[in-house]
Amino acid sequence: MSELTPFFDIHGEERRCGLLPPPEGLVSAFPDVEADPEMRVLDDSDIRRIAQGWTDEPGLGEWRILDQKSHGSCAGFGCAGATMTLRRRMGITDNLKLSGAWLYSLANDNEDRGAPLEWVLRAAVNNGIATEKTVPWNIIYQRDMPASAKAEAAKRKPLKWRRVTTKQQYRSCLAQNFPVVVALHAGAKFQRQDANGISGVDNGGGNHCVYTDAIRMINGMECYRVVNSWNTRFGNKGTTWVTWASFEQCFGRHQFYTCTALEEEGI
Amino acid sequence: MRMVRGYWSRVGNVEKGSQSMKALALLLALLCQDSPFRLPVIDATPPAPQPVEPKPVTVLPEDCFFVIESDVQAIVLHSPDGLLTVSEDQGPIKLRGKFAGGTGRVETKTFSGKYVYTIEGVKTGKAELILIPSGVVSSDQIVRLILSVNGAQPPPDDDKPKPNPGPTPPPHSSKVHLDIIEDVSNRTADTSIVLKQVIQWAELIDAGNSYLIRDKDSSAAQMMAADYIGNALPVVIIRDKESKKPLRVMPLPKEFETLKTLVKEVAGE
Repeated sequence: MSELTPFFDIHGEERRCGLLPPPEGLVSAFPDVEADPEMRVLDDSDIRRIAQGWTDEPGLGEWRILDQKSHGSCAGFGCAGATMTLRRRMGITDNLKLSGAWLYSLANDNEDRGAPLEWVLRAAVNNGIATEKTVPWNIIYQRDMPASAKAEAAKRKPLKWRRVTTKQQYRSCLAQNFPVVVALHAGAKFQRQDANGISGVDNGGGNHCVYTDAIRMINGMECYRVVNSWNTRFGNKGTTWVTWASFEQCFGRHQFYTCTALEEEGI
Repeated sequence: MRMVRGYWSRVGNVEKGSQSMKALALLLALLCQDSPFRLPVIDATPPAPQPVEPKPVTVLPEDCFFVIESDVQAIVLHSPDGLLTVSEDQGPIKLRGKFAGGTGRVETKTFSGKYVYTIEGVKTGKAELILIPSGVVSSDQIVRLILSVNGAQPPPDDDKPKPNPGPTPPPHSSKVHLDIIEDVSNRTADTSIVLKQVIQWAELIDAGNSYLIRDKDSSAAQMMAADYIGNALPVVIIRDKESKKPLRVMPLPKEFETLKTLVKEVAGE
């Protein structure tokens, strides 16, 4: 793995995009959405009906916007953020922030050179997810972990992750209210939104992991809401809308995943 | 119950019009076997040339009680909402009023079952009753029946004789918790829409209530399986928030407004 090149976002924050493609020949530990036992995939008319009727969820406010700051830990933050949104949608209203740094530390071989999403998700399923309070953004190596992190993380584990391998599956998961962790290419255009609140498309095969959590129609275009981990100064209070064009070059090169259920102690 | 199962397997995909026949067959089967439930029947009137089997009561006239006695505690579900009220008492209990299957006049009856469930009609229509005995281990033990309900009249004038009050529903906590159990792998478009509206239902949370949407494979959902056995997923269990006792168990309504009305009704709002 090579060093990640730092850059400054449009607000002057130093950033690193650390999403690595899956290793060649990787056999995923997670079943395809349509693998047996098959997950229901909605048909086009149902997806459009839901996208057209979209309204925002009052519980999903700024509290869930994480900040990975200058590390290449986006895969960890994307997974942690998606789990936070899933928790809120399950009805857990404590607004608990989960640690992307914890997940990244389990997948980065003690170097800040990024990680493939598959390693991060396996870490989440096997070890659970610690809170951001216990493992803040800057603790990204296992050697620096607080003693309590492991036991705390084990209390909450994603129960069902699925690989999203078609555009239809992707749209269906969002219409069904399941967050999807995705890859996109984050450059200057991604950081700027047009008058409709839609981010531009940067050319590239995917360097950044975020999650998406909603589908809606904007001026006749089907759009997906990206929840980034670059603090609330990014986009519209930490989120932006994108079209499928933002994923076109990344889909296939990177794997997309959805989390549909969570196991949590005491819940 | 074998006879009933045979009947069901033969009818297979039954048309809606034969619902009452199904209910009748089930009820007859119940009357002929050992069951924890004793349902109202119309007295077989002697003398008759041949022995006459008691006929099940399938009509609940206005101002009448439909009383079910049971040896074990049970969950009594009914649908659609708003047609019936159900109250539970521990027997023996003495009731004065008109009874489904009775003489049509005001009577005093003593019900000696350990648990007595009193059903009253609210609105006219066909209602389904589902009786789930405590500790149920097999679907054979769950009883379903269809009642033709004739709604109650408007409240009488003050100078007219008042009907007997009958048993009152047990008081509920004003705060409720909703456990919604689903198979996340089989979330339909309609379920997705209703669940999103639940998620957006800030008024529910603001009023001190809560909800949790759980996958059927989560350990929490498996631990509460006895609370919703016999119900197709997705199912909603409305609980007293404090005691966690189930107050109502039913399939997740297809319309959010139905769920909202029901939750408010159970919460006593």
